[in-house]
Order: sequence, then structure tokens, then C-alpha cells
Amino acid sequence: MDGTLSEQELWIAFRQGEEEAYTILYKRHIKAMYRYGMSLVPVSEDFVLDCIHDVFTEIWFKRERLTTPDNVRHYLLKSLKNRILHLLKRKERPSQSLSQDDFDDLWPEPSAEEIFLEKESSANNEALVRKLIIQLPHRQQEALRLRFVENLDYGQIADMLSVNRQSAQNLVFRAVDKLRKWLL
Amino acid sequence: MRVENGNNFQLYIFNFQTEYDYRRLVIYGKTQLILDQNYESYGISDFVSDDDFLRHHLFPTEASTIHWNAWLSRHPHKKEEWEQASKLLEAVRLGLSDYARTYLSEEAENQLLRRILETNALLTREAGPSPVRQLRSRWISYAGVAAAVALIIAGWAVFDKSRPHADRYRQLTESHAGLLDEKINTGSEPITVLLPDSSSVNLSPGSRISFSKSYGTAERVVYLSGGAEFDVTRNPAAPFLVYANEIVTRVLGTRFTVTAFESDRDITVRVATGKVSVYRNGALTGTEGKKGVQQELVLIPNQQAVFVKAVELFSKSLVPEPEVVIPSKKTQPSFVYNETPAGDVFADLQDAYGIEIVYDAEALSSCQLTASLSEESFEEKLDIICKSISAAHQVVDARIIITAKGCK
Repeated sequence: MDGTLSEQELWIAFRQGEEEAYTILYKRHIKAMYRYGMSLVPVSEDFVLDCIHDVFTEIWFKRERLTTPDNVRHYLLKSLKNRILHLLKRKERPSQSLSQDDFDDLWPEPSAEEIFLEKESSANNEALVRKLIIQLPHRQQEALRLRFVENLDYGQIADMLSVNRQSAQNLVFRAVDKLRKWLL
Repeated sequence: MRVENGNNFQLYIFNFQTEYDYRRLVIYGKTQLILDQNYESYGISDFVSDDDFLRHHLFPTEASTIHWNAWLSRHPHKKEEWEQASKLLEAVRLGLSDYARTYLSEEAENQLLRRILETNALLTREAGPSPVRQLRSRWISYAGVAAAVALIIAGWAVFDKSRPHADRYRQLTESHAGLLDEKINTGSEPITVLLPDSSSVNLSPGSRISFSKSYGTAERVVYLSGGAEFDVTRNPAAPFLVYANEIVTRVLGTRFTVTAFESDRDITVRVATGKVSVYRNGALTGTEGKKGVQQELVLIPNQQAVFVKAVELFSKSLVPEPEVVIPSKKTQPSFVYNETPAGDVFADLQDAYGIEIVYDAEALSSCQLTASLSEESFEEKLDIICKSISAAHQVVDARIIITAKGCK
């Protein structure tokens, strides 16, 4: 099948039962799904692979009832996250009473001293920023990955994180602003 | 990959670009207009969080470059913040590079795909006329799904063994009218089998091949179980057909390899020279005479077809180590370049290896290459070229897609 088909054309072909289109969609998105899945559940590769398997199997059997998403990457990442959360449900979301933004603020920030030590001990810039990013609240980290690697827009990030658009924008801004203070 | 841009800042582009991103890049280049919104109040972090700023850094176009240069010349006091923002964006993406580099091996990717396709096939078979409803009830618990799949797979294995036509090769040869000559390689080294028309077959260990006593009169038919490399004498009047398990490979004169062991999940056909077509054996896969299900792949050198038996599906891809397959009339390029336009370099590769390379000529028009690549493999050549012109490449359906930002 032609490699120049757009995502939407492929999706439509897949919904009509074209296994080749389905295979191409898999190949185009497996890398992003894998790394995103692993960032959510880093402890178990097998679990992530099972979830990706389930997402693809499920869309194959539901294909006739699916609509065509604006952004296939977004749709697949969202489906993967749903699948993962569904299977981990009992452990997830311990405190519904706190809003997510409150929760982020409870996250302990590293002190200026700790930052200084990180800067001293990091071999290079990449290692330093990586260490600083993992100091951020998990949701801010996730928002950064979706924004700067998966290239989703704020509306799509909001959907992934179950918040409104403004909150998604705030998450990214707060993460970026913290990194700015630490780095520049 | 390090990329230099016209404004003396640098940023990192990761290898994550998919063809999808490539398409977006092209679309932005043609239609994206950036509104001159009020960036006056923007600080460094606002720029980094801004859509247009990000897009310009990830997928710069002529339009976006003109836009930002113009904006900066109108707002010179914002220039420092803008440049700091570029640096910060670079740093953030650098910090995320371990995430962007989290890859599954290609083998693991293919393995997972096979598993998915097998589950789909098995559940369809199991569920009968209404797979969707059956699946939904199964979808309720993960453990339930896993148990169901395990059961079906176990059942499948038993079922498969008990099928009367498990031995495809015997089935094929028995159905042949007339006498057959058979050669079996029981040794540990490949053996050469010469066919009556002086076509030769390099038969792998553990493989067998049969051909008709009347071989070569109208059609040249051979039956294969296992692996073999064929060097077929050209004879357009008598097509050469290889029946191997569920598939048939048809050629006019060429060199190619068929790997079809009964115990393998896949059948592979690789082409070294010439052109072959591969299709399912309708009599074996139960698709004979059915309209629309006949799938035929035409392969050219350095391409391979893999037939996944479980789902009876072909896919076309590049062979693992492409070789130079220049037509005899042309001379092989030297692969030595001195400020050569990148488009010419890709054209050389495309001609020499017969592999289609898709790139945006406009984006590459500013890129030149100085390098000597005569010793490198195809993969290495591609890597070096892409690194030096700040492009990314990936294989989609047996062709190479180049994602380039252009050079200035």
C-alpha cells in the first residue's frame, strides 16, 4: 500500500477492513505508543506491550463503529492511556478531593542548593536537564513530553490529562518556567 | 541530531519524525500563516509555550522564518528574550531526548504486530459471525482476555497439527499430474541443483525441491519446501513458477531467494536482480476464485515480500542489507561527493540500489554534501548523508522517506 497516504485516508481504509492500512498505522505509531506507555508504567515492558496489543485488537473489532480522528497519534495515545489506567484502576487516583493543580503544588521543589549540586555533578547539559525534568510533578513531565516530543496541541494535551485547555497550557507553562529559573 | 539555523542558534531535532510529521511539514510550508499577534508582553517561558514559536523551531518554513525575522526587526528589544527562549526550548527537548529515544527493537515491533494480527485472526475465527459482540463481553477484564487468548492459541495448535494439509509441500506435489524429480538436501551445506533449462537452484540444508519430468515445455514449475536461492535463465515464453507453501512466485528471469520452511510462521521472497511477482496459492488458502482477495505483489531488487501464514497476509519491505543493483548499461557511481546537491546524492542512491527515495526537493535545494561514501553500506550511506544535512530517514513500505528541514 502506498506510503504517501494521509493518516485520515489510512484510517478510512483500515475501518473498511484493510489489514495493510492497519499495519501501516501500527508501524507509524508504535514508537510513540511504546515510549509514552513506558513513561507511564516504566516498571513493566510486558504490561505496556500487552496494552498496545489490546488497543490495536480493540480498534480492529470496533472499526466499523469508529469515527475518523483529527489526529491519529492523539487518538492512539489516549486509547493506550485509557487501557493502562483501566487495568491499573484500583491503584490510580487516590485523592479525588484535591484538584490536580493543588496536587501539583504539593510536590516538593528542589532547593536552590540541590539545583546547584545537580549542576555541579552533571556531566553535561543533557544529563542536567533530564535530572531537572524528573524533579517536576509527574503531570508536568507528561505535559512536556506530549508537547515537545509528541507534538500534540494544547487541546489534545488537555484531553490526554482530563483537564481543560487552559489548565493544559498552565501545566506546560509552569514546567517551562521552572526549568527557565533553574537553567538560565 | 544537531541542526544549524539561520539565526545563529541551534536546536535539536529528534528522530521521532514520522511520515505524518513530514506531511505536516509540507503543509505548513505551503499554507501556514502566522498571525502577528501581540508577543510584546511575552517573556521567555511564554515564547517556549507558544504554538507558533514551537512550530517554527520544529518545522521551520520559509514563511515562518520571514515572519519571525520581520517581527524581531520590528521589536529589537525582544530579541534577547526570543533567543533565550530558543535556547531554553533546545535545552528542554535535549532533556527529553532519553524519552524520545525510548525505542522498541524492530524485531520486537514486528513480533508485537504479528501477535496482534494473530489475535485478530484467531478471535475472528473463534467468534464466528459476530466477532464484535463476542469480543465486547471478553473485554470486561484483562485477565479474562488473556485467558481466552491463551486457550484459543492452545486450541489452534492442536487444530493446526490435525489439519490434513499441514504438509503443504506433500499436498502440492501429490496434486501434480505426471512424474516429478525430487532433490533433498539432508546435509549441512547448501547444494546446487541444476534444472533442465540450466537455471540453477542453491538449495538450503533441510530443504527439498521437486520439478516435473516435463519441466520447461510450457511452464517451468518447481515445488519447494524450505529455503532456496534461484538463478533463473531468462525465457519469456515459459514463466518460472515456484510453489512454496501457500504462495506462488512467478518470474521471467532473475535471481531471488525463497524461504518457506513448513515450521516457520512466515514465508519470505527476496529479490536480487530482475522482477518477480508473488501471490497466494488460491487452492491452498481457500481464496481461489473469490473476488478481491487475490493479493499480488510485484518485487524489484532489494525488496522482499513476507507472507505471514497465520493471517495469510503479505507485506513488502526492504531486504535487510541492500546491495548495489545498477543496470548493466550504466556505470556504478563513485559515491564521492564534493559540494554536491543533496538531491543528486539521493538520485545516485536510488539508481544504484533501485530503492525509491522520497524527499522534498524544495527543502533539500539548499543542502550540499561533501563526503566519500564508496566503502559504506546502504544504511551507513543513508545515515551519514542524513546526519550531515540534518535530515531524518525512515523506511515506509520498502521506500525511504527523508524528512529534511533544509540547510542555510
